[in-house]
Amino acid sequence: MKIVDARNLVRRFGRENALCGVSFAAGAGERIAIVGRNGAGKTTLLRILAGLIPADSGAAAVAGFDVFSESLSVRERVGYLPEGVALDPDLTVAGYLKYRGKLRGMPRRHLRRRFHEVTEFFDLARILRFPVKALSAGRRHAVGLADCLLHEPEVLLLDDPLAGLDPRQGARLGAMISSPRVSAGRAILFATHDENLVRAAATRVLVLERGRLIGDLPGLSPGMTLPGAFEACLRASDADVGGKSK
Amino acid sequence: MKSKVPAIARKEFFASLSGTSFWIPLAASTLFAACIGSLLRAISPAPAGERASRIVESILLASPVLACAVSCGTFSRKRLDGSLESLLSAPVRDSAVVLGSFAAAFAQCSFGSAAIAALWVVSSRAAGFAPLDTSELLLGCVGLAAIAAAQAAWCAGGIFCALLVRNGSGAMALALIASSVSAVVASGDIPEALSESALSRLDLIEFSLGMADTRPLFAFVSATAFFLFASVRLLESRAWLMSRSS
Repeated sequence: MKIVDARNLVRRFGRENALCGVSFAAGAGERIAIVGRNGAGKTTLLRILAGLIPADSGAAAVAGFDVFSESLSVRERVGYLPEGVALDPDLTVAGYLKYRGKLRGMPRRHLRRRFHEVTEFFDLARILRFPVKALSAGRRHAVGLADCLLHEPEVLLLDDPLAGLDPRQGARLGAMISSPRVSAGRAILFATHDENLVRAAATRVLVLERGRLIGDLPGLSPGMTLPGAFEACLRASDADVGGKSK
Repeated sequence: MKSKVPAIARKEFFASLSGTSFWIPLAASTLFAACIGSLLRAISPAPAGERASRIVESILLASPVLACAVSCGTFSRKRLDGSLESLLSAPVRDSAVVLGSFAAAFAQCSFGSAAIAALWVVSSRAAGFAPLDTSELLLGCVGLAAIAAAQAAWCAGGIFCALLVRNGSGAMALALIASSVSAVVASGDIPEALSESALSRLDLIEFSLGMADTRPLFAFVSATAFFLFASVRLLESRAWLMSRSS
């Protein structure tokens, strides 16, 4: 069953095409890495699917809701981690998670239960009274992910989740993303440049270049590197465009 | 769907009170008001019966600085550090974000004004002046209520500037210039219109018949409504988000 369904998404910023007709679908249990160079349209695609910005044309549905006309319903069912994991610096970890639960309209009892579950899973119990601004990058990412999972979303959208993390923290985060407690029953889409994360967590890889989807791979095979996969997709795409133009 | 305005306003208000984003602007604006107030007193010493209007004037001088720093500063920071994007990824309407932030900024300004007034009264007693009599205190309260409308307009203007100008310092400067100009205009109108004419005699019957000049109040209330509406439209346009996109 499709949880995410994007069809021919187009988005322009001025004269620049951020997305040119991107189409794909994702089902429950899929962990999709979105890779591509800077400016390829990864963030724009995730923002559209999160209901943050509209597309100029095309259609997209998340959990059965149209992302443009039913944006609030989509946001209720999506956990979105923006690039840089921007959390409210003035709140404590506990205060932040409870505030986010309230914003999502979670009933008090449900919020309390989920609060205990996510803080236990991400090992946040010791830092609940710490202000967010005092946390290390790794802890901030853990809090951001806990926030994304608090309301048990059907779709997780993570924009460069490893930004600012050292390799060990990155490996830990990759393990968290691919763990059954996080990935079971939901679609996870994450934009990244990190080959280790793609290898550890992705069941599928979408390759974007200048707003176009040039590759849809079933993960990275053992002998394949991320730059190698990207170049192969780029060559195939150029050949395809060349063939069509002839 | 239940309104998220109270939750956002409560969080913004208490988070700012526990951080430096409120106390530093309050200290700066109080100092500013004290300096300018001293200058005014040196030029024209206030007769005993007009000290309440001097309280109003000193608060009126501090208010634009405080309102701009609190509303524009907080909103600019949220925009630049990405926490505004996080906030909008939750199922909240854009209007709720603007109204919640505005309500919090307005409450902080009111709190700050009350603190400045208290400081003024305490310092005048410590300097050996006779205590204010009831009518003076009432006048002060009326004046405070009158400038609340102006503060509301400045807070709304601050949020608008934070969304309009990409650079945080530029937004603050623009908001400060606009509010200072209107404060100069208002300082001639509000205390004179409300403190010294009809209400100075506390003749509420005449006031209810429209004897007091309430045009500045209408102007500020209209400005508040305009800036809030324009801020919601700017937030909806997502133009502020594009500066952070990859």
